[in-house]
Amino acid sequence: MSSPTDETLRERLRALAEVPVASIEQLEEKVVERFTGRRRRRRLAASTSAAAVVLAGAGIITLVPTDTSPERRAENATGGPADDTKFESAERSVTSTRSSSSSPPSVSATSISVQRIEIRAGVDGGEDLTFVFDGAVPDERVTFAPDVSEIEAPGIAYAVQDPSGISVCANSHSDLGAGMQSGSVDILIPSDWWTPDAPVHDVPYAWDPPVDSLPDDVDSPGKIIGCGPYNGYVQYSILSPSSDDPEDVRVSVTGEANRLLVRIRP
Amino acid sequence: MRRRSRAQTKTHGSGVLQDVRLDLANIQLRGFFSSDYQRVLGAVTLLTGSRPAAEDAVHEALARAWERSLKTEHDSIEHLDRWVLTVALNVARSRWRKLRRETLQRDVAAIPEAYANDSMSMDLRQAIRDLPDRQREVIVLHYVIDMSVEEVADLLGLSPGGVKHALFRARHSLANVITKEEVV
Repeated sequence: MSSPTDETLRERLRALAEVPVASIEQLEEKVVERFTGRRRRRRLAASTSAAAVVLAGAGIITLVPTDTSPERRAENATGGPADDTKFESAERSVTSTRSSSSSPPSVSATSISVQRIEIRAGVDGGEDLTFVFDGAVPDERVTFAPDVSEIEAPGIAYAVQDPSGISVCANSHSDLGAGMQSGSVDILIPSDWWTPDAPVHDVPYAWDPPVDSLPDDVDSPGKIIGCGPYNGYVQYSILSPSSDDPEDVRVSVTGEANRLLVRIRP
Repeated sequence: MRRRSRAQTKTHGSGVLQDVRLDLANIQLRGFFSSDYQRVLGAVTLLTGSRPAAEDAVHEALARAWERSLKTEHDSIEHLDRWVLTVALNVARSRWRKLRRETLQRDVAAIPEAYANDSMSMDLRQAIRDLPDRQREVIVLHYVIDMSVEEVADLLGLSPGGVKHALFRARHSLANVITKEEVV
């Protein structure tokens, strides 16, 4: 038998793809539900962060100065949308902050910059990225920003963007969706904290294990773009992470307040 | 697709749903539903092997298109069908990957059930599902959406040569199935 022609294959595949669909009104209802659900989740995430900032400002969040182990100090104070159950129980136990002030970031005595970015791929199906600073951050609170272009945070913020449109400082990339399965996780560091003239680009990566040795079925983030200062922040966009769902992302300050851990768990 | 200002979305109110419908009309979703929806949904159904998963991905893409239209001042989506297809593909891949991971942890044998479509019992459907992801995407985009090799390459971030190679391999696999059907 001869091989089927292109036309035969086209006809067969198109016949398979003919699926019955609901009425336009019913479809509208479904998309309306989806759209309002997305907005509701974003508003909830924003209000959760705002409420936590208020609590921190009122001194309600407990400081635990006697226990300074990384595991105990890791949790961020302002919270975020991530589902705790995906993350280690030890990291859920305590909320602590170095500063209980909710005032906006001010010029700090200690300027910082990113020395390197450590990347661990294939951790529980996701990845860990650690931004290592050359000094302690002035405020350990980390805030989820529902909109990367409208940030209200007392210190470091993070956001997520889907691949349909990724804002990297002044640039908006809508053509990055080609081949990308997720958009970005964005880290925003107050530019007031940043050491003047410290390089934002060309920060070395440290892979563990080496990226070349990763199995094919292990996700690894794509490029990390650094830019700014722009609109008050230095931005690092982690492109093509294992997830751009805010519920899958947790960001916290660890170590001697000189490390920012980004955990992504799809 | 034209953008409405945030202020506009809050007016005309006799309820959120009414405002929402005005937006829906404004971003030409009705046009998409009547002219492109079935084709895009059919393609994503073939790609995922599941009608519910495809609907989920396409509706998520449409919600994102709508959200984008409210967020971006001057940016517009020139080809809503291609845009929705691209985003739906990304969503489907991401969710399929997540489901596969979760399912693998529970029961490897449950994978086909989890993403099965009741009507997907034909040999050709099974052959499409058995194709490697890249070959399946290439052949569906080329034959169902009618995209050229260059357009498929652009959408998937591949070289045209890579697309041709994947097309050749997929065509060969599916040809065997069709040939068997013709013999029967």
